[in-house]
Amino acid sequence: MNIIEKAVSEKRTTLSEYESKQILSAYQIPITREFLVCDEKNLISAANKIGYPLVLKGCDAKIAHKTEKNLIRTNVINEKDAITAFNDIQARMLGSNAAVIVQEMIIGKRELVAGLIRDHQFGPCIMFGIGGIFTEIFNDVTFRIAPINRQDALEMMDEIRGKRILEAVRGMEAADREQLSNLLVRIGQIGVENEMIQEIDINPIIISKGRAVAVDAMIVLNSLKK
Amino acid sequence: MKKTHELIEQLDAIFHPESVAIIGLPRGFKAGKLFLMALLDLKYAGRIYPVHPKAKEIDGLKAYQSITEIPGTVDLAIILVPHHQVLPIVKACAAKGVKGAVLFTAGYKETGTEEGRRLEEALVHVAQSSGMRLFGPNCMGLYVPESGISFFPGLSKKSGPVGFISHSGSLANILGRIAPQKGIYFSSAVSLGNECDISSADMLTYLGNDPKTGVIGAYLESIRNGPYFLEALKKASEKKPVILWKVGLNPEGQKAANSHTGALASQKHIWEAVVRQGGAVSVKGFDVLTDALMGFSLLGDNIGDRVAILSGPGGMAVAAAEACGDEGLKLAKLSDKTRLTLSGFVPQTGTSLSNPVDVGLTASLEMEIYIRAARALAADTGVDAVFVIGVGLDRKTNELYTESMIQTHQKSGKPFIIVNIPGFDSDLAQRFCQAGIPFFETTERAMSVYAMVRRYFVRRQKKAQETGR
Repeated sequence: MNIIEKAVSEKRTTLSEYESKQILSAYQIPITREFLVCDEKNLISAANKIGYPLVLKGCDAKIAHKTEKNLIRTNVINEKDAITAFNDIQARMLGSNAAVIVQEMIIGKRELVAGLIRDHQFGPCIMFGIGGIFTEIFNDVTFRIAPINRQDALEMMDEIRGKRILEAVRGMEAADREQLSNLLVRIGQIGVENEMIQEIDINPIIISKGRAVAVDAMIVLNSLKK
Repeated sequence: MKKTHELIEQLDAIFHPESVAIIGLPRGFKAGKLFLMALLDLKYAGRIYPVHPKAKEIDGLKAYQSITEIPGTVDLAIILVPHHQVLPIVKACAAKGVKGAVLFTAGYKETGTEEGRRLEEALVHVAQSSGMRLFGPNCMGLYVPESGISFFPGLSKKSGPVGFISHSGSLANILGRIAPQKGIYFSSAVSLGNECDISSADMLTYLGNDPKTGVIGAYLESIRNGPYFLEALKKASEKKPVILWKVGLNPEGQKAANSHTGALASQKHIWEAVVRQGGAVSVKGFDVLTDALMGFSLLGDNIGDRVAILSGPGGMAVAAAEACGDEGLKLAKLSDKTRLTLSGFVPQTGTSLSNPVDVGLTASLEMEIYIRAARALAADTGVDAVFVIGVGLDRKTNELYTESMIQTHQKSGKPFIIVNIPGFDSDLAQRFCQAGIPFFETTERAMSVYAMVRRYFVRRQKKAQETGR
């Protein structure tokens, strides 16, 4: 895959959010509609294609914690705000031509996490659980060894303590379990087919009108042979 | 498939050897002598060849200076020599046509040294190029009561349904020693040590296909080839319960990770995934392992979830009902007929005629109350299993209690489970297990294992239906 080869040639071990999501998308995992822009002209054109409200994020493979670095602007509702947000983010990043992701803002209260880790003994393992900023605090996750089938994926959804979050709760639609199971099967497939991928993190996956969308993602590659 | 077939044939021959050589058997009473004592103790009927550089005879058996000098064929070699002498001896065994060798000798990969690792690789090379299979190094080897071979004296001569795999020789030995008390008997048990050749996954494949093995248990410290292990586990679990006790799952040694997924992926999480996908039963600790082996050995594969509890002590009746609910089992609803029967002989005060049935203190003096109550519960069509928590006042009453419960179990055909009340005679506890009735130390352990056995078979049946469609 070109994205991975490019990163390896640049001696990088992490892919940016944009690159990571391109890979997910190539495996039919639903991601936010988004464009990578470096100047105001492209920003406006991207914004008009997606439509407001928008989210703008600084995009750099070297920056893993965008929130801590204050590189995320949500609920950007018009062109004026978009330009302000864009310039503000670029100013916080190194170099004035730094890339910014312009993406649709997914509205949904339920945040999930899914991912992959390459275990030295069992190979690629798929993770699923409660996502968002408290992922590590709740530690409500479950794993499977890849590859998995639909039945395995459905079982994973039933195993987390917070499984009721997937039901129709508080006026929200029930999550589409078939779509989610497909997403988990695909993550396993990525792990099986791409030896270079060490870890995948998709957090959060937001449930919006019942459908899961990958809103942020990061892929870590194997460290080059020392 | 061909490879599986070959492995099974090889192991079958090694597990049923017509001759055994013990290489490095000491003349005096040293640790290595135990291997000969073990064979004599189990009355091994094949030929035993001691190999010793100087001795002409050891304990009345003709000794040979090397494996090459032995006149006939040798199926199994047990190698006890110091580790720098092992390699040429393993080569000589391979040249002799030995089918399998047990390497008791330690000092290999487990030492963490480069030399240890290299020596072990050299052993693997000999095995792979000759077709001789190796157990260990750093292992105790095989216990196959049917063949009369054992790794320690004092183990049962009687065979049974349990196949056991262990990364610790001493643990396999300790389990073997207490097993008969719990009604646990083995088809075979094997201590694998460093697994330079034969691995736990190989053993899962062998025991999964072995018609004499009905339950597989394992104590595991590490897994050598993850994907092969998972595949072997899946296949074995489809046929019979596989109970796994894995150690080394605490977070220590977990390396720093770059992502949420990496940070959350503990060894425990990954192992849980292996257990679920493999369809295995996970246990933690020696007590739970033995309880589970007893439960799977003695309880049937079609046990229901409607449980009746019969207890003398009221508090234990209540605790049993609580444990029943905790484990997802149901308190059977007793029929009017059963309750009427019970009211005919259970004293009116300090007792309860609904489930859990509390027969009170008088029953310890009048054992008939326990016995008639057990019969009434076993006869109720709404009851799938009877848990009894009882004790008599003296030895004689306890004997009557034991024999009557066994009889009621046999006549009704329903599972009986007995829970200990401290002070109960241990030989009678064993008598229960010998008669096919599991005897547990506490009511919580009893409910937990009953539910564990039921869950496994319900899940297996569900899976079979899904795939059968």
